[in-house]
Amino acid sequence: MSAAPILAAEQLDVFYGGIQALRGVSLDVREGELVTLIGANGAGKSTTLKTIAGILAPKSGKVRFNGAEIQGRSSHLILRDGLALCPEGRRIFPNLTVDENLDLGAYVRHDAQGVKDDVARWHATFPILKERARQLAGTLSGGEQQMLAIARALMSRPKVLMLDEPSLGLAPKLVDQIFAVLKELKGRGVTILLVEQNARQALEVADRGYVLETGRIVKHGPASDLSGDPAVRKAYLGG
Amino acid sequence: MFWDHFQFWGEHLLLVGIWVSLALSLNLINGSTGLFSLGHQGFFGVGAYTAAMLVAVLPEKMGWGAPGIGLFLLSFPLAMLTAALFGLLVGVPCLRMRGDYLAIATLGFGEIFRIFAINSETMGQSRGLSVPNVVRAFFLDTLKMERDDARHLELIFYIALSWGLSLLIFVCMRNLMRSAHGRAIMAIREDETAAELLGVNLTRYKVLVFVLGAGMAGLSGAVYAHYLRYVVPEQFALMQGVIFVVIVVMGGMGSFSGTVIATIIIYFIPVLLSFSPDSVRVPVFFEPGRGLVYRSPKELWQVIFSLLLIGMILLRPQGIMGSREVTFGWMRKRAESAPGKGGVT
Repeated sequence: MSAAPILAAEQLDVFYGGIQALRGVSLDVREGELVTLIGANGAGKSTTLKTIAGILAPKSGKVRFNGAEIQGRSSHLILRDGLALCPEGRRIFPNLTVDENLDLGAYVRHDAQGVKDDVARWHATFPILKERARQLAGTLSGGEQQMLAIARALMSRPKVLMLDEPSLGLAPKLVDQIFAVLKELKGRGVTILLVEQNARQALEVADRGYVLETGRIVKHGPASDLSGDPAVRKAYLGG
Repeated sequence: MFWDHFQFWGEHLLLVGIWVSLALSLNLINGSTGLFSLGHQGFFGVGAYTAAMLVAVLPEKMGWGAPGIGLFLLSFPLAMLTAALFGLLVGVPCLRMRGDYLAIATLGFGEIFRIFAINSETMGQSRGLSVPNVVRAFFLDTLKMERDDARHLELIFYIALSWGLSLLIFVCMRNLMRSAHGRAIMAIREDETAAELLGVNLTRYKVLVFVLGAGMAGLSGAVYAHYLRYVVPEQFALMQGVIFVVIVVMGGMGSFSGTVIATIIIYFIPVLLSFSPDSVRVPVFFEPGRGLVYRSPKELWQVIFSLLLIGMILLRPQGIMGSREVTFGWMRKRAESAPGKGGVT
């Protein structure tokens, strides 16, 4: 672990109007790692990702990605740099077909053949998307929509993929499927920053974790240490 | 006899062509991109006034005598550019707003333009401007045509112009929406934030669409001003804009063929009602002491218009065409599955 982190947030302070949502949040992700950010509802997990992705602007603090400072840049430019966010609530385009959604994921790319290959690749990874390729995305089930959202985010070939609550609102069986997919992506060397409420499963797949409480990072370390930590167990893992 | 009918129906055909072209450009903004603009009549007006002033005011002020065909031809690109410029001026600040705020800001533009025209000496105030008939003069003086021939050819020319413009806009929009840019535009309509997270530059596309739509509306305005040969501020009142928004919603947001169908329906309702004989009266109201109040259907088009709209919203809220298009493949499929209920729902 000698390499410099590819993504790092440093002392982020973020406000919603007069209310401070993040207080000096710092975290880093190295290439090939799966890092998870866990915490309760309203702790600031999504806020952290939105700030890194450029949807929110921090009042102070820095975001470094691939050697450059990116805080305050527009989301569409940050994506072009190679940092993708798969947003909370999936946000697929319901009135476009599954394949049109995937094509839009590759909007910033201009290598038609490469895009075609990638569509085939994610079709192979998520067979259900291949089956439903010409169906309107709005007709997919929640779990299928989440698969589509992940595949769509990967279509831009990001250097780092950020996922905001991919298991939200899914049946337990589908949640298992999503985590299996994350494990597979990790196996392929995709760098991932994962925000989850489902702390137990998130820590199972992650290399390292950060625990966020009311806008502050209160703990961080290797995922196995965190899942063994009595305080973390009590607060997030049900004893 | 033929030419009398032709004069009557030809004029409607021409005006509906102008309406179609205007509705198509609004469909790009409101339907395809989901930017709720209530100021389209303003851009239409900017185009109409630009064309009118170029042939009616400029030659007079400069002492050039009667405007020639060159000035007439020049008025079209100029009307388009002026309207597009206004689109840019309105778009850049307003397109940062979303939904209702954008509607109010564009409505504000339309009304400011109208009130400016009412108060501007150069724009003829509320009397408006009358526009010299450059085309007729060209046919009579330069081509030495007979009076009747010139009159008929003039109408044919304008019908071809208005529908040619509609066709041009239709083809441009279809090609635009089928390109990668079209995908990005659809993504913006579906979910702005998600589109931006996929790398779509929201401001760039919104401004592009708005400027393009405004420029096209300006072109429609120029055809309108030249044919009617007068422009008055009231032609560009808010209600005009609202009718076009209704057309776009009725046709199906983003469906260009739906827009064409809806325009023709909305345009011809009052025209067909005007044919009802004077003996036909329908009860519209009950007044105690006097009994039923009867009216001629001619006066009822706004009522019918509203009923149609309510019916549409209840029965087919996605519009006539939804977001689909009439294509040859689609028509074949309809024909094949006509007996049963099959097909995509």
